[in-house]
Amino acid sequence: MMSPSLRKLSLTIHVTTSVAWIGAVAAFLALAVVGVRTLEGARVREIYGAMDLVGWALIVPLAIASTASGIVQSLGTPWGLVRHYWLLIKLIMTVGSVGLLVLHMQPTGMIAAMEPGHAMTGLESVQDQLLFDAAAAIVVLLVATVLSIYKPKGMTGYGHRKAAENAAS
Amino acid sequence: MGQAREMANETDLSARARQKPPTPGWVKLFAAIGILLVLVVVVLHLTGNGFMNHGALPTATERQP
Repeated sequence: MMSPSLRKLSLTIHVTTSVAWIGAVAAFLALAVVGVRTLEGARVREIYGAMDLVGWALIVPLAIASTASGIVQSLGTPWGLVRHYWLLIKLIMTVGSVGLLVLHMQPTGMIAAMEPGHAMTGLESVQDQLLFDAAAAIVVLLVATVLSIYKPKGMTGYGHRKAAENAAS
Repeated sequence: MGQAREMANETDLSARARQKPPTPGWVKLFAAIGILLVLVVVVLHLTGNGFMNHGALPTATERQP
């Protein structure tokens, strides 16, 4: 178990990176909305260039840092990583989101790198996907935030066994 | 007699402690939504009605209006 001061430091890192992750995704969502509504080629490239930057320089590192600090926080405290359903669900959601995020980040860079003469028609499905991804990411992060604050009751089978062992010893 | 009853009570308590509590309703709801979402994404990808392939932009000919 972590010492109280180390636990507070770990919690500070986790909360800061998580809040920053939501903010960065909100910026990405705003750019995705503008990107879908923009038709002019040079402006489209600028918008998706900005999304690429926000994605790789902010969202991906913050997502990894938030997930990693959350895992450290769970393992270093009595909460554990898979003892409570709310933590287990949060873990599955965030790990899944990070995986999908990395998988779905390529189109932004590709649109930004398109040559100026290229027609921007036919990219609607790509733009819609990025908009959907950003909106879905906001929903997932808000659900994770609600779970973290409310901490709904319910222990997993493993958590229950561990609690029984601790009570017996 | 009293000792035997006490032992039986302790056994009963430890058995109850080992017994897994029922899964909360909110967990079942989350699981159902999660499974549904995964199924929708898989079906959309398999039928080709979903979004684009990951990282692949339409070709120049596909982009023609």
